[in-house]
Amino acid sequence: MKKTKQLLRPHAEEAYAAELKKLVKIDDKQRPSNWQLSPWAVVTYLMGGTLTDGTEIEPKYFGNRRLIEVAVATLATDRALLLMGIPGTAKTWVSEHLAAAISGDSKLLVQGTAGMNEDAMRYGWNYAHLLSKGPSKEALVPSPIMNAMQDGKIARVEELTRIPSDVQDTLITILSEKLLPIPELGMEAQAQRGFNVIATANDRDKGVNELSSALQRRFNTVVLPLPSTLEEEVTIVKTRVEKIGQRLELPAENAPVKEIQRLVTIFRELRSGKTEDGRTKVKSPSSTLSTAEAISVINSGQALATHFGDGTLQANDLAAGITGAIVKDPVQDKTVWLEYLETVVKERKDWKDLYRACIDLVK
Amino acid sequence: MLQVFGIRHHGPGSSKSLLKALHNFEPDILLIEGPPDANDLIGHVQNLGLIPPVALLVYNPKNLKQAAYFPFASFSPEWQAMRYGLEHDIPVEFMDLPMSLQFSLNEQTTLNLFEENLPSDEDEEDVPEEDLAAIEREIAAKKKKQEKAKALRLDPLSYIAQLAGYSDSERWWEVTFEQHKGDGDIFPAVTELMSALRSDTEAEENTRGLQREAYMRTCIRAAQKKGFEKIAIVCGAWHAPTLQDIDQYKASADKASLKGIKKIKTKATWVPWTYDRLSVQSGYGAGILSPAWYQLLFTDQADAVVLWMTKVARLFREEGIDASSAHVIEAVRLADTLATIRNLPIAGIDELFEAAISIFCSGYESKMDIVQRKQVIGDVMGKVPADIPMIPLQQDLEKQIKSARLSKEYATTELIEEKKLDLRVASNLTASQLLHRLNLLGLPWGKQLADSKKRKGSFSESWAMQWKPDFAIQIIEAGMWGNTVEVAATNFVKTSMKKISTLPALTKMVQQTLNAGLDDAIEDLVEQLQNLSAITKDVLHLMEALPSLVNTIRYGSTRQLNIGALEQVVDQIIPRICIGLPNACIAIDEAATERLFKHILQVNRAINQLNIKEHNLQWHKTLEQIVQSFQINGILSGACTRLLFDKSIFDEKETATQMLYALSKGNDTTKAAYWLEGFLHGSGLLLIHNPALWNILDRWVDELPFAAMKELLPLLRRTFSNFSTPEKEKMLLLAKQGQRDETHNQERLIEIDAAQKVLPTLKLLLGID
Repeated sequence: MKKTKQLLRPHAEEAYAAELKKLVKIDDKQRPSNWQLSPWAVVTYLMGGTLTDGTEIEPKYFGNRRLIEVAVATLATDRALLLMGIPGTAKTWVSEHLAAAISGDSKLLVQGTAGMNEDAMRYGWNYAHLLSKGPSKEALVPSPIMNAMQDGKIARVEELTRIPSDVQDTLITILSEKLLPIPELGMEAQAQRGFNVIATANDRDKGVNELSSALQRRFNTVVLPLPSTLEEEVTIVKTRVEKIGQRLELPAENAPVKEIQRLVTIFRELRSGKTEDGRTKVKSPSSTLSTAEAISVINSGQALATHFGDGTLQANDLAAGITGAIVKDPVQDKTVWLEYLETVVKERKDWKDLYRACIDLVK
Repeated sequence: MLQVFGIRHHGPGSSKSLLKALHNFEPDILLIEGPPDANDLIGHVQNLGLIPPVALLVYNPKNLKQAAYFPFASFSPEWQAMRYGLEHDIPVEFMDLPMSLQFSLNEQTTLNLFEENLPSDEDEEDVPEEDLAAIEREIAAKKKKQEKAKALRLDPLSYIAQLAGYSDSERWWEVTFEQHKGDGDIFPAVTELMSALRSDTEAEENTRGLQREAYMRTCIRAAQKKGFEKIAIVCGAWHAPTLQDIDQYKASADKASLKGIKKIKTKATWVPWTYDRLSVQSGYGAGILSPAWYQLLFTDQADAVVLWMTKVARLFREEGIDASSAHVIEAVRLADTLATIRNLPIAGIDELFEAAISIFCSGYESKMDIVQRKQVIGDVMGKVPADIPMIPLQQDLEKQIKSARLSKEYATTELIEEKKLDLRVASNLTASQLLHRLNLLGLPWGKQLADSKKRKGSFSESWAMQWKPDFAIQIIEAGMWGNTVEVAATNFVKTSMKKISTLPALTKMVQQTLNAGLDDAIEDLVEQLQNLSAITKDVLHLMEALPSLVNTIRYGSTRQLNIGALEQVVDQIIPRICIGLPNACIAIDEAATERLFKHILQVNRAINQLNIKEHNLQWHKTLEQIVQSFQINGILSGACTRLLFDKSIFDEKETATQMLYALSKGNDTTKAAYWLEGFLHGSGLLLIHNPALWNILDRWVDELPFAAMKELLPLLRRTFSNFSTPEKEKMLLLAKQGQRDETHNQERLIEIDAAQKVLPTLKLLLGID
């Protein structure tokens, strides 16, 4: 436990070890082989709730329970799961917690990049060993996916669509035959029960490396949407801000609900192109303005307030973060933001401080 | 002995359990919750031509707003019970409070509601201030309680479902009763559950509910008195307890609660229904989530999941979306797993739907629209055979539909976006007439697409068609006009034309009537038209009516219409317009001028189309009058000058004189500009190719003082902005050249030798000898 406290960001299975332990104890429903929990318990772990012995399970995902149920059911049918959505809709977060709850291990992770080769998906070699002793099992360096296969765990592939198409297709055999041939040694690695893959992809960067239909067919897709209401989004930001604040050892000031509300309102309005009351049309910037970004803006604002301000989050602590999140394109986004400040923010009665703080930065 | 079977309306599981239970019980009479007004119609359920979904329609023939539908699907327990009774040759009767009484009760309640809402004075007593807050809280609590009670009455089952941990009461019933494969003895349990619920929730039944239950008990007692020994009662689960313990209720009290209700005479019939209207989404109170799915559950419960998913895949394939058998397998597995996670014995429609989204649609729900329409709700429409006593009009309508070859369109409620009719084909002409007749009768089955006429000539029509099941009531309503569509439409026209007081509305009706081929009505209509045009003082109305009349005359021949009478009317209208128009142009505001301007152009076109010498002469004289008048707005006199020029009544010289005069210095500049706008309406080509006109205009612009020019610029711009860009460019070029040589363009060279060479071919083409 002591070690955990020193870490910047502990793994999900460590951060929520207590909850998982309680769930394992109480869960009397049938578990698919090599699953730590029953599908029901996995859904409960993600959506939160109160257990029969009174233990509170914290909600990890705020949103439609049905989506998570489909996701868990998918993994139980040994079809792979593809989580889609624009950046910042908690795809990675959900995938991490699913892996933690199902396998107790969220570390078997492949980060998809444009420069990836097949070795990262399959296996590599320890070349010193290979040269000295020739090809052997000992010289083989298995990928996280191969490890997951052998242990019957969940492997995670992040940003699947950023991986070049030919490398993506390595997954086809793994997902349909559940095996990984190793021709160099004349053997193969066969997956144990409980093995599965959760991939994430974002549909904002569509067309980066579109999945082949053969591969697409092996995934069940769940689209994670942006929060549908202001209240829902404020709750998400509030909860996460408190969590991260604890980890970063920021003072335990209660999450500044008022500031969060203002920030989320701004983000939602710019995203949807109209004000929440539906009366005014506003332009949308090129930036995504996801919930995740809102969380990080609040966090950096809190850090600013703690270290340079008076400890409470003020409008000018937020201004830099907001401006940075919105203005990604220095020319176009700046006009959009200025226009929004002048037409919407300026008009709102209690928003004068925010307006002044932001306008100073932009001009 | 009597046994109560509390069912859920349109529940396939209820149906199965009910059938099993009836087989075990072997009743000698069946009483079903339904309107006794329609008792005589129960026998038709055995008619093989009566294909559900169908509905019983009970209505008050004197006031068709009082009408009630009682829909049945093949899987509705009531429908199955009726069939069981008829097959076993036992009496089957409805026992609900008859609509003949309910209609009159409805009339009363509307009145009572009004009285209850009046504020009473007692509430406004003086209360110490600190108590106010407490009282407010109390009122709020009371209100909340009332709202809860209301919700409970509407959906009593949701209460139990919530207790059982289900957010959706529909689902709960599915799991608890319907997905168990049809055990016969669930009914005592249902009754018990309901009686517990009724005492538990303290949901007070409203008066109507009590009256209905009282009537049902009266029916049961009557059956007992008649000596039936095994009475089976099929009713909604909510009523079950009050019918089971019949002895706890006093017959006299029941009678008393029904005393003094006025009786309204009703009629009933079977009408076709649709799954769409059976679903919750349509707003039907006892609606179900997924009729198509329930149908599958009823016919193939064992394979329902697989069948449903396969149908979805086939649907997607038709739409060009990849959907292989492997997809189906995966989707079924996902749906089953989802059901397990949610603690359901088999997958329900929600699971199937969500699985289909994930597997077939890459997680995007938008592609599921078609599935929602065809496989969740279902595109099914019932049929009522011809031998069931329909009202005569309905029978005739179906005959007409057949001879118009519209049976396919009649059998679906989907929107048919464009149905093309070629009026030279006999059946198509019948179809067009039928649609026009129905439109007249207030049954908008088809909407004629406006622009199709221009595009495809006078022989073809395009219609957007969509049949709606609730046309059934409109057919009955139209039944008062006559017993065939033709007679009904004719009578409708003859009656309603008397209420029409403006000429345009009447001419519109004339056109509709002609299109509908109602020859009998035409004569009366024309007479009415003559009368009305004689007394119409408003020239504008006459002018509005003329184009459509002329149109009808011109295209009448395609429809084999009798147009002689119409020509007579037109012969009278045109002189009237000619006489009234010059005066109508005087002293009117700008908006009226604008309207008149349009009408003059339209009337001009209509008269040109008719091309009758007499009319032409008269019309041109009228136009000249307008041109000469000083008091008339420039737009109109300009426009009339142009019309006369187009028709060569004014030669170039005369036109130039008119223009010069209108644009001369002495005139008010605004008037001059308006004149120009009227004159140049439509096309600038005239200016480009007629140097005389061009020069006059050019000189006028040249001589305008700068201040006046500034004032006129917007008006000039308004005129010139209507011209096409090439025209404007050409004018700019001309303007740069300054004054043009008048004689240069005037010369016309015709090479007579060359021209004569084409004449033989031309003769051949035109068929002139």
